[in-house]
Amino acid sequence: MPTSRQVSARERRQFLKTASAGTLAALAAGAPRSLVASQSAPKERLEATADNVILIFMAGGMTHVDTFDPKAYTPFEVGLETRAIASTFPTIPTVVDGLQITAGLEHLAGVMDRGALIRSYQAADMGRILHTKHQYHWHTGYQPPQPTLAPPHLGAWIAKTLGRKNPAIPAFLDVGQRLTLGEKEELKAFHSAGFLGSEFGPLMVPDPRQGLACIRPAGDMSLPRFANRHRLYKELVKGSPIGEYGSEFQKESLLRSIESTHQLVLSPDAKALDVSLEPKDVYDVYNTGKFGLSCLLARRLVEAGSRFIELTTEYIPFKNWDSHENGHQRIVEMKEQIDRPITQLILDLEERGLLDNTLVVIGSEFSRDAMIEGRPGKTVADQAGGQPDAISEARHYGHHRHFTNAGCVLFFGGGVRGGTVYGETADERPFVTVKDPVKIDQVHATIYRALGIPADHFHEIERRPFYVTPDGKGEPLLELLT
Amino acid sequence: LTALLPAASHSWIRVPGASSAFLALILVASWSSDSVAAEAGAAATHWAFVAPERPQLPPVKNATWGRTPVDAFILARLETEGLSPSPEADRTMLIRRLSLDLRGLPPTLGEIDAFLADRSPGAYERLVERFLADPAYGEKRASHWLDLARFGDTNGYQDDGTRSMWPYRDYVIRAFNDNRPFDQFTLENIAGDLLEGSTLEQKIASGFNRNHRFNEEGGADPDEFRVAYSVDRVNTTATTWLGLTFECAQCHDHKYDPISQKEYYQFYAFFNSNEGELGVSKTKKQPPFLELPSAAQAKEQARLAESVARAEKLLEEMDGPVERRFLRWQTSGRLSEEEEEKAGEDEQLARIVGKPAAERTDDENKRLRTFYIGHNEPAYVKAREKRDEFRALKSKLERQIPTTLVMQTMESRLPAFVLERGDFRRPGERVGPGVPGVFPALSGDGAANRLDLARWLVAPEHPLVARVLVNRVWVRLFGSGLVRTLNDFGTRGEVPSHPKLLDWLATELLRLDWDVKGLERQIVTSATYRQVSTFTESSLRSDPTNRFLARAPRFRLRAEEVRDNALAVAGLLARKIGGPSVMPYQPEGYFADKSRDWKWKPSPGGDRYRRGVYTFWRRTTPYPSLVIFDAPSRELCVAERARTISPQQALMTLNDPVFVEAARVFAERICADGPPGLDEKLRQAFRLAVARRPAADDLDVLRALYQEEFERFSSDPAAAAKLASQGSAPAWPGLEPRDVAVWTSLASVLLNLDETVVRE
Repeated sequence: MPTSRQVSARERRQFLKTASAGTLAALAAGAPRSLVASQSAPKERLEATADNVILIFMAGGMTHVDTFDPKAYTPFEVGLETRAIASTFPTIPTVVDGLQITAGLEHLAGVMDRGALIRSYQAADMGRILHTKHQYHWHTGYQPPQPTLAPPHLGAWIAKTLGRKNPAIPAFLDVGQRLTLGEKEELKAFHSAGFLGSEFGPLMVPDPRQGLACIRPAGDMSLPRFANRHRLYKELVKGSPIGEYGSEFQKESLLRSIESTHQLVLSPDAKALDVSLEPKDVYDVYNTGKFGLSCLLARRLVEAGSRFIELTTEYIPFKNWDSHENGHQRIVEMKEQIDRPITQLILDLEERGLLDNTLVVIGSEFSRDAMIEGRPGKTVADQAGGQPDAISEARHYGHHRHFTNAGCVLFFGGGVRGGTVYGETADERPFVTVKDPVKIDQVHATIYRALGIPADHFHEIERRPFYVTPDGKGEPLLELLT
Repeated sequence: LTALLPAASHSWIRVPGASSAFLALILVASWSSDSVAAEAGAAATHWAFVAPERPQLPPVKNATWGRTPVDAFILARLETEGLSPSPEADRTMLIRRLSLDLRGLPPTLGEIDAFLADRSPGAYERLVERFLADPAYGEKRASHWLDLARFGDTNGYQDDGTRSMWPYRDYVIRAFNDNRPFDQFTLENIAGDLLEGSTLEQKIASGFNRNHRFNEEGGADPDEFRVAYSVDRVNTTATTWLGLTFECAQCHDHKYDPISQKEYYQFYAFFNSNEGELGVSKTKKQPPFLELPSAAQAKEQARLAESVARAEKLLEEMDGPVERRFLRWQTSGRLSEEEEEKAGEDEQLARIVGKPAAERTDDENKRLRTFYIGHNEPAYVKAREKRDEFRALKSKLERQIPTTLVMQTMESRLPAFVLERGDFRRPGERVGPGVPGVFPALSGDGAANRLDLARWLVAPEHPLVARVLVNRVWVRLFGSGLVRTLNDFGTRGEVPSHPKLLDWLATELLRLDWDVKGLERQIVTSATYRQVSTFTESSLRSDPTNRFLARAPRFRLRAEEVRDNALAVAGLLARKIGGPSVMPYQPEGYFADKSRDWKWKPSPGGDRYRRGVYTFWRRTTPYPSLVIFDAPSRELCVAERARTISPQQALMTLNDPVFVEAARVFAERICADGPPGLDEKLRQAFRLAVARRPAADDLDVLRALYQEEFERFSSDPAAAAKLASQGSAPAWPGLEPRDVAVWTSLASVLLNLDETVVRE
């Protein structure tokens, strides 16, 4: 199959011979477009309902039936058949009439009127299920691997398109994910601005309790010494892969990202990264651990002028939401981590008048099920070895397989029509989507729409447009927005 | 415009102030001229793609210097550059250099003294022979080869579980010690399984192509990784034997060398048909693999297999009658009193037996049968227990039998395709096995297999393989190559500093029938190799990187050797050759966060003190003291290690438990076993560490340090006791903790001298 690389030398020379003087002059007249990828401005900036985004990621696969989409409660008993396991939590009412979720989310139940709930999110079918593959898809909208062009993270698109609100504060921060653990290369692949250039990538804050440490010189290093290091570091960067092999644009982008982080180091606004400055009572409300304090940090960052903050329960293989056994107990613990701080974040934003222009999104790469790996009719290689047909121990009680046919996404604030429920799943296993299925490009298009960015907004790279949603065709769920 | 074409040069593009219109013209012009050049086949006449011819020895002016043909080439170049060679190093420096280069270990005091005392002609040459014949030679050479072979003890990727591959490492050591000719070694590594009547050892050798990583992540796509493994084989083979960057052509035609993407996948077609190969799996043994039982294990295995078979047969004979008795029993519709008692709390049982047979579910029948047999057929139960016992013994034994991964071609080979943009999901044109057209043709084209490929590599007319190999030998002995880009002999690689010497060595290797030790002998007996490593300000200015070799190079020991050297100096090194990899000390918590079910279990006793080449190589978390001295992770083929100097290295050799213990044992050795008298002791310790005798000012420093430490530890017995008890090696009996502590401090300083970790 011929590709553009295989244009033969003869064809090239032929082009030279036949090209008229006029053609050459035209070529010569402008800057050579192939050298510099140009950025098109949005065709039209739609009317925005939000200005910032906080993406809260439930990494590892959050079961819909044990969280925001309750089914019949099947308590643990010896002999319970795995196929009979539906919700492992009782149902609780919420502040929205007729809307029920599962026990353990009592705080969130009280703010569901500020939010919209999608119950019909369907992850893509990509063969065998791998968390980071689906997370890549969730965050970029493109399925991995993408061997030619690295697509940007959702946050990088927004950072690039809308820019900084506060010149000192990075537009895009990522809180709570370490890139040093399992599947680290796969995680790095999408915690990135891709072809947009390093300056639009996330400032990684692996631990919200040590936010300042991410940007402060180590130990008691003096500022002159730090400045000297900064100078040397820029020298070293020249020998890095981007410095050595990157395009001029990539190099400059990397230097700009270093420069802007350096600005932050010296800026008084850096204190936004220090959650210990919060009053103790506030700190304590959020402090359910690392995740809870990430919520607190996110609030501080929004106040300081960040554009896009992702915070995560952290993806560590077989930890947190990635429950291959003991699923019920694990979700009890996860709910303890998330319920209060997310709620408090929403209330705090509201109290400060920031909820109106801040879109808070909660999502997960896929759901989980006790029986089905993948989806009905398209099941894939089982990864829950050891799940018996009938359970006798608590560790087998829960949803230990990866389920892609349904799942929950929540939107709060930022022009969201409060109390909305979108989509529906079956009441009996398989708990599949039965109404209004939603794909990731619709989720992205909705977020972009709230920010006033059309779904076919693009960046020109290698002389072709690259859209924020694949082919520019993502359709926003307007029902969720006011 | 046409007039501009030949002159068009990329540097013009950077002309400051040039208008964009002008730049555009230049771009068009150079775009066209590039392709003209490519079409002219410039790359095909690149020096490395033309087979070497044996050059004449160059004429030199200085007729008195030089011992071997190597020297003629070096001297000729020095004379052209207006430089002159350095004098020969003294014997102490020579024996340490030779010992480290050929064995990776320092010379013993006995060896040094014997060499100093041997004034008869040929003493140096005899030393060379002794070291080449030392089993440590194979270990040293293997540690270099294993970087290319990307040998590791784990599977890499996320889970990075343990694999059993050490028999391949032992094969390499053995082959090098036996001085297996490199052509034979090549056949064994690339196609050991395909050799006529291949031996067990040759099959093990084929594991070269199984040293790639293996993905255990259940969610990964098996097709993707089957492709990844064969891609890794292609890239590794190309780097190792051809010194070329084939990997560029996985996704598109190579930008600089004449390797098309199609040719890449033709090469790939040699490697993609491995019997039973899994793409992704949790299993510890990834087929195809070999079991390597010891004679005793094989005998025991056969005996147990027979016992299992006998027990199974007995059970089978009992099956029929037992089943008939069960059928009769279960029609009774109720349990006997005694049975009811035995059924105990299982109230269901009485209910089930009461049901008509036709209404019972399979599950109920199963429960009933289990109960019946358990209580009414003791002989059957006993026979079953016996069988299970034998089975358990057999599988226990089989778990202990070492295995090793090997290549084994499928009977009908899988088709290979050009993968569009290297993407496993996008097969394009179907291709058969073949080699890039720039090289001599391959015999047996179309149906050629790995054996044909291996024979093609070592055919005398091949332009690259001998050159790449002699360059590697040169690196081992001189620290850097005649071609400095070890992994790239292509058009983007550096040109050789001594092209004629490279070709002479390559043809010499062929003349020697690929005898690598013979080639090394040629090199290390040269006057070039035997120079001093001292440099002057002017030699540093005229040739800062020592490209022309007007002096011997000095360079830091490799990671494994830094460790081996410390252990050897301390007298702690365990000289056992081969066997499963071992786990010496490593800092607590190094694996925290980095592995789920995987534990580093420090090896017992002497296994803690083995050479670095036996250290367990976990690819995602390699042994830290090796990493800090630039050992690679072995996830991929590496042709050249970096050679860095960093403060962390000194912190490691000062504080790592391995080095602290080595210092303590070194100290005890001096205290208990050294000569009487402080100065004599200091002298001996110094010589053990760096081979040479200390100069007067060296001794002054050591003496002062001794006094200082003596006073410190005399006044702090607790600190002395603590330092004197570091490590788990048994303490030398009858020593004062204070003395051991003082000498441990001194020993630690000696082990940390620049001179100790540098080969002069």
